[in-house]
Amino acid sequence: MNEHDRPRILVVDDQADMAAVIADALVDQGYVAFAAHSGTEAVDVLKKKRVDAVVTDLTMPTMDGLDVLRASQQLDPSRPVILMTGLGTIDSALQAFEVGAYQYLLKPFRMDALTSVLRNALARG
Amino acid sequence: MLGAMVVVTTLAWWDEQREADAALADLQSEQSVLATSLSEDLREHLTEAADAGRTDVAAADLVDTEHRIARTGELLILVKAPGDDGFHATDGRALRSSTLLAAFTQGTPTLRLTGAEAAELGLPARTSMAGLAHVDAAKLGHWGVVAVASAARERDREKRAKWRLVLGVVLASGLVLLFGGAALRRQRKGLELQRELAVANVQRERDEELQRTERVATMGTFAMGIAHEVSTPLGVIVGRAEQLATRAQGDERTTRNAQTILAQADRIQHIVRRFLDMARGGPPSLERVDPGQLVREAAGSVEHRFAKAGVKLRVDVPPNMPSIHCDRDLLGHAAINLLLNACEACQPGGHVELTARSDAERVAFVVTDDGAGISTEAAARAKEPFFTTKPEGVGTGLGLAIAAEIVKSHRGELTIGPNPGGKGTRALIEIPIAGNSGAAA
Repeated sequence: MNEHDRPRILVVDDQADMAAVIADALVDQGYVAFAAHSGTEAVDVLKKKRVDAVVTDLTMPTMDGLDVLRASQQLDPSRPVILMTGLGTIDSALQAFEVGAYQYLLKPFRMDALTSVLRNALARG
Repeated sequence: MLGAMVVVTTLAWWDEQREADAALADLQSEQSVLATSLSEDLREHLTEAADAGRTDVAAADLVDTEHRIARTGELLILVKAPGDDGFHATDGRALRSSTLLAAFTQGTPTLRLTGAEAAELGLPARTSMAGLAHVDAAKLGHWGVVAVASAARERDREKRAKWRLVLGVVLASGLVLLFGGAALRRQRKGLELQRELAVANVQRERDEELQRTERVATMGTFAMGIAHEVSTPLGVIVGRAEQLATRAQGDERTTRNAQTILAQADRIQHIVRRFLDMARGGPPSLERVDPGQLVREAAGSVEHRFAKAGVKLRVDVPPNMPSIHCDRDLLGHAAINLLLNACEACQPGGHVELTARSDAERVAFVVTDDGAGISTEAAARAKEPFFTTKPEGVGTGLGLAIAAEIVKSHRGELTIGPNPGGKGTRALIEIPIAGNSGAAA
């Protein structure tokens, strides 16, 4: 599979370490991964590059996961968006579901849980 | 009480009157007996005179013999001679009384004389009782004897008895009123104390409830913060350990170490989850909430504190506000924290206002007070944990930090600053409207 055929995933987390570990894991699994460290940066990437799915943290300063979700839906309503959330903000994640999120993952999660969700999401599209 | 007094007095008065009437009747019958007995004496005198051949017996001669019985001012003995219109008294006076004469003519044995009639006879001008007796002395004609006694003593005694009676009733009633009043006052005071105690109990219970919810909110907010802060580093640890395990395939020891890291990360995750469940007393729950109801419930929880502090609380919510998606208990607690801060900033007689407003995007809860106000520096630091301007021991410095944290977890914003409408402070909570954030209706 050449790089152009591989699914392209945008990972958004204001914690650079978290974004990096997920991006690394996705690359290991054969995806093309981009890391963004803020909502604004994520929207920039979405506008400039082809992205097949978005994995974003929910709680971020200024522009949070829900804002990224909305921006992604505005640009491409069929693109799946997966939210990552800590225990304290499960409700916000549920709320995000209603906005149109594909799935949410409770931090910390195993990478195979993420790749399994991603596979389903991309197969849907 | 007054009715009972009237009944008792009337009964006793009636009894006294009956006794007095009976005493007067006795006096009257005594006069009748006296007159009859004197008439026997008179008959003897007249018989002696007739036997002696006298035909000119004068009433004055006969009266003289009865003089020792009469008592001046009390008892009068009168003799009536035949053909005479008047009466002869034992003290020699010749008296006229039409009433006595009429009674004599009619043959009445007893008679009651009024004060005026008694006065005509030289007795005290009080009721008097008369007894009449007739003596038929054959040749010497038809004579009469009258005993008239003044009832002044009986009347005085009756008057004194009635006064004693009234005095007794008044005195007894006074004592009953005095002791009854004291007992009633004591009972009323007891009831008042009981009521105050009940009110204090209710206030204490509500305070305890408020403190309990504050503890829950504090713990819940901290737990939420910890869960959020811990989840990302744990995620990094789990991710890197997994990658390590994948890359160390074949190296059993490294694989085992990576698995240990993953197992320990799981353990931390469980601990945080348990802490969160315990602190929140159950899983957090977002629900659609009417902002007006939330405001009224918050105001209801603190109204006793306002009453105690003498601060007036006004709630102003327009009808039909759009609902918001929130944890009712937590957001309500944020509003309660702002209200209590406002209340504590006010002097007695101060005013606090809680209003709710909405526009297309958000619902705003505004708490304003006309209290001490807030400096720009304090306003900037107000949401920091442990920052307080209250005296030591009064504030924990956590109320606003928790309120801010709660509002933040609802994707809202808490702003503290001087009241733009005048003196005092304004606290503003802004929460996105449920529909606007896309939540299903």
